Amino acid sequence: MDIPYTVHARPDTGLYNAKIGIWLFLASEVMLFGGLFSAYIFLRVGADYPWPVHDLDVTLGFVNTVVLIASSVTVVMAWACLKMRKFGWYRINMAITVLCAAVFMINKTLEYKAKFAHYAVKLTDGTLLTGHLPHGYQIKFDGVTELSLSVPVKKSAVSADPVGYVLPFIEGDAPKFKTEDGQEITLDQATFASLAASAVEKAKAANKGSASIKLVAATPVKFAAKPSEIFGYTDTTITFRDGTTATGKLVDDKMTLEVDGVDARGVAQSEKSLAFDHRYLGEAWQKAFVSNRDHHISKFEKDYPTRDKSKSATLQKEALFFKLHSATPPAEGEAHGEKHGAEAHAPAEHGGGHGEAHHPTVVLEKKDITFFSNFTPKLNTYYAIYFTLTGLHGAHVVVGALVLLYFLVFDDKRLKKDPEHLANRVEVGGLFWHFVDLVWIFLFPLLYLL
Amino acid sequence: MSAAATTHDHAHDHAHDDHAHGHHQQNFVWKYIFSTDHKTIGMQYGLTGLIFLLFGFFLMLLMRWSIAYPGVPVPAIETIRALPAIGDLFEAMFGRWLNADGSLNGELYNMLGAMHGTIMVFFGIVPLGFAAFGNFVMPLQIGTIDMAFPRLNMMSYWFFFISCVLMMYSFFVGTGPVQTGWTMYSPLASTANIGVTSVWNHGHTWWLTAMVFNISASLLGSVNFIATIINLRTKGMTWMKMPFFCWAMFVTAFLLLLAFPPLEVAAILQLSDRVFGSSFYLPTGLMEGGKHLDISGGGSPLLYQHLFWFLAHPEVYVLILPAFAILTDIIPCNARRPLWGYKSMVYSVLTLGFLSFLVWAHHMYLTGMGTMMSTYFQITTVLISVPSVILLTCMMISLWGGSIRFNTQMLFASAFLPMFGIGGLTGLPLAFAFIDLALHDTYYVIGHFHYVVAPGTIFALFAGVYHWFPKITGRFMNDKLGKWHFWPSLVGMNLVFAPMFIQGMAGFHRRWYDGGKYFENTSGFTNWSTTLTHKIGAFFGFDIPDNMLSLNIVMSIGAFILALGQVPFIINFWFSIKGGKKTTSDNPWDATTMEWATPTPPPHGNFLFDPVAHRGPYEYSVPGHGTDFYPQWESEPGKPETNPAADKVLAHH
Ligand code: HEM
Ligand SMILES: [Cu+2]
Repeated sequence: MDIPYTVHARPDTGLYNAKIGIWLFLASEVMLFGGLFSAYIFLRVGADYPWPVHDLDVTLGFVNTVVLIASSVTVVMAWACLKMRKFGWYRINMAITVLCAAVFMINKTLEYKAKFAHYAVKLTDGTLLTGHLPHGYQIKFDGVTELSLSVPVKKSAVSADPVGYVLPFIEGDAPKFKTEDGQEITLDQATFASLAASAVEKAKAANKGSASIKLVAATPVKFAAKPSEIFGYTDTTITFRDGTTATGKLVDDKMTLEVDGVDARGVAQSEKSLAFDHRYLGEAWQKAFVSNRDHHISKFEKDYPTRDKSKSATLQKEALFFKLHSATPPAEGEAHGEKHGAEAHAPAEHGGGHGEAHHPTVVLEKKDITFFSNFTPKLNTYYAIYFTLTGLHGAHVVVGALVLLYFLVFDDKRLKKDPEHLANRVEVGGLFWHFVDLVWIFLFPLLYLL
Repeated sequence: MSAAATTHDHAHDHAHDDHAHGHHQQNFVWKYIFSTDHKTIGMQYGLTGLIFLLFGFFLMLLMRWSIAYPGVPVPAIETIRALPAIGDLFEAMFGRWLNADGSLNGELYNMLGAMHGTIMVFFGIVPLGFAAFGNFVMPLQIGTIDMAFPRLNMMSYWFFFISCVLMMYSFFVGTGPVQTGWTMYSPLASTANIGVTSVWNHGHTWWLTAMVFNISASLLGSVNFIATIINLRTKGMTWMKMPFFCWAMFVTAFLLLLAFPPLEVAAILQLSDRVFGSSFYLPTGLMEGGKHLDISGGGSPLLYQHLFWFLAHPEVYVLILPAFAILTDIIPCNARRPLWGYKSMVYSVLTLGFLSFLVWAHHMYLTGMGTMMSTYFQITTVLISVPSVILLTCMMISLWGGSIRFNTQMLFASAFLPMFGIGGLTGLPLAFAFIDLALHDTYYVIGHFHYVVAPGTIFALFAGVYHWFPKITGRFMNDKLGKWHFWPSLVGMNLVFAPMFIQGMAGFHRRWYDGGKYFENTSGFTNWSTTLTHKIGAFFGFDIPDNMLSLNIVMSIGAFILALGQVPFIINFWFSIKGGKKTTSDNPWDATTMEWATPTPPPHGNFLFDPVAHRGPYEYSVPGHGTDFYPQWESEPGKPETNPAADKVLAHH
């Protein structure tokens, strides 16, 4: 029993099944990416913060564009060669296509990796500092002796799980703990489970909704955790995400940042930005900032006398997003190297090199920080949509390349026996590949250039 | 002798062959579990869908209890808890959220509500109406051997199955299932329980992953449906000879294909907000519990609503079109009359499909998106009711002058018409922004759409089960039990949903877990409907208070009657598989469409001859013809079809 029209076209529709299938699938893909592009427009039009423009590395994006277009050509050539039964050339072209996909993905990985290591910190006055965290950022607690845990009798959202949510943040080895009835235990999954079970029994008997457990550490414990790894803290207590609280003393929640950019677009009077406070970058950097700003503004006024300064996103960015290229402020007059275009605008791409100090380091107090994140979807809606779009596109590249690779490597039997069928498959795969290429053609200007 | 009888003989031969060759493939697992046969997949979808409908119904019963008797312990709760196995399951899913005295609280009510909506729409009706009936019937009706991509078809079911497992799993995680309605509006949905424990302990995360799988399953299915209809129609089956059933499925598949991706986007972005902490739907400055959330903000809750309703309006047509599909087979067949206005129905359904992409924001009048936008969507919404009315009218006119056979499926089908009519007509006022401002999010809206989907679509689905059961099993479902199923269902449905209009116009909000008791001072007023309720109650010796809240009791009694009404169906369904009356012909209803030309049950490969469509699909009571039906596949009156299907015979021998 064979399904009709798998290889040859049906006369009245002129199509074989898979071709209809792929066009339909692509239609739904258009709706998928259409939805995402609409979301991009919606978010950009409605953004209540300076939309990041020219933030990405155009060179890398351009290389990827060329690579993808090239692969679209080779996949067509592969198909044509197969149709003409030139199997050798078919194989070569197909291999090049897959290779291009690999190059594309490698570039993408480099781009992503640099962003994960790069941070932006929002200060209370709206200033954004960008830079690297040479030591990471952790909240440190010391002298913790008591943990109080709570286990609801019935399973619910928050239920103590110290092994998963508390122990990982102890600095050094976890000490022994003493339970309320004086028993000395090593806290692990099994002991906690039995502890919790007996506490729950007691709570049930007492008709209470949840059992509370107190553990006293044999020696004082130190905790260190990223703020996102815990639920919250005060000067004396720390609450973990399983509801467990520990009492002790906050020793450090300052953030050490190697600053490579000061973005004062969100500040009413940019030169008064908190970044230039004497505790932080100080006066010398402030001067450099102001001279850079005024330089760009006067240049803009000269070049475009009729245009409205406040409406040029590019000017706003050049004037108010100040890049720091050295550990100490530049001497007067050389503050603004005439760097334009991509390289100057690519703070996100500074990957390694924390070692040599070519950026000033500031130690930010927690009370001055409202929000921070590395360059991930969390940072702002631009990066959120950037990662979603390029991530989904990347997934399409990988899937498409795997399918083409499959045709190349594992479909040899069909190549010998039924090349026409294989040609159909390559055509369908190629159509998909063109679509992937097309999406990128939209993505590149939208995310990198506009 | 009719052609049907002849093909029946073939069926026996065939069954024989299957035995003889049973060993050379197809053990149980491959035949029934990982099958690529469209009929098996259809049945898998159908059974899963029926089970979920029942489950969703059960969630609703719990809700209705709380609405009618807020703060009163669920009846027999301790007995349920004491049941072996089931008791533990109940406790893990629902019991752990109940108040200490066994009554419902708002939290649990919200979980039930959200999951009821989700399950009914995405796990009950669509799988049953579109995937099950479409898969089983459509390839047979266009005379082909299977779907265009059988393996994709199997994958579609298994994707769906994974989504079912994930969705059910969300009942068991720490936070319990989602509490934010089937529409899952952000920011509430995205920020509920934000920060505590890990995201994998959140029902929301599982809801979203389940939906991503569910959507992928629908996409695979819809590609398959469309490709099959375009390319695999048999000889003579031109577009305009194709049964309306297939047309409706064709349009439905397009709706799924094009409307689901934006929902996938909505789900992916919401998942990103949940898992990666992004702010797609979260505005700047959002606070919870007096604390600024650790988010960047800058996103838009409206974006979510646009993406969601861009799917979810077409989705409501995905819910209703399979019902039309089923009825256009059942009504002509049992009225013994051709379908009236076949062509206008085809054009209407195409128009409807197109327009359904242009009306989505009529669900968002109250969001303050602006009067220009409202006006636009108001116009398109009124426009779209035109094709809907054409479809309904054509089916009503098809009854005119027929000699109607009131078997069970016809009862359900004929009840559908007025019920859908009520649902559709009550939608019209909602189309106008100035009326909707008052009615939005009230029970009026709930009444509106339940009239279209419950006594509407679900009745049509029941009708379809009774109609095609003999083709699938070779046995009829019992007609007596069928009537015991139909009448309580009809009464129950109307008792549940009609009072909703009254309550809705009185301003009752759709998500009150106590049915409005908290607002007793304002919601406890009287009018004719409450007085009537009181008097009828008194007649039966109940003391139902004379105020608006007492309608809650009426509705809950309705729900209970409805529940009782499903018992005969369940019994009928399972017992008839082995114990129903045997069919004596392959075409027991004397129908004209091609699925009845196959042996019973249709074997792998379906037809024993190469079917050709010689005429239109609804040739009932053709003047001058010997019988009152003239099947599509008969080349001459009464001539048995013997021309064997060459390749199929080869493959099987
Ligand atoms: C015949 C013409 C119809 C019109 C003019 C119409 C109009 C509307 C409008 C304006 C709303 C929004 C009410 C509000 O939220 O304030 C609505 C809600 C709804 N309609 Fe319809 N409708 C029609 C038919 C249908 C059909 C055929 C179905 C389903 C099979 C349906 C299902 C729904 C559902 C599910 C909702 C509520 C969704 C929710 O908020 O949860 N409608 N309808
Ligand atoms: Cu709608």
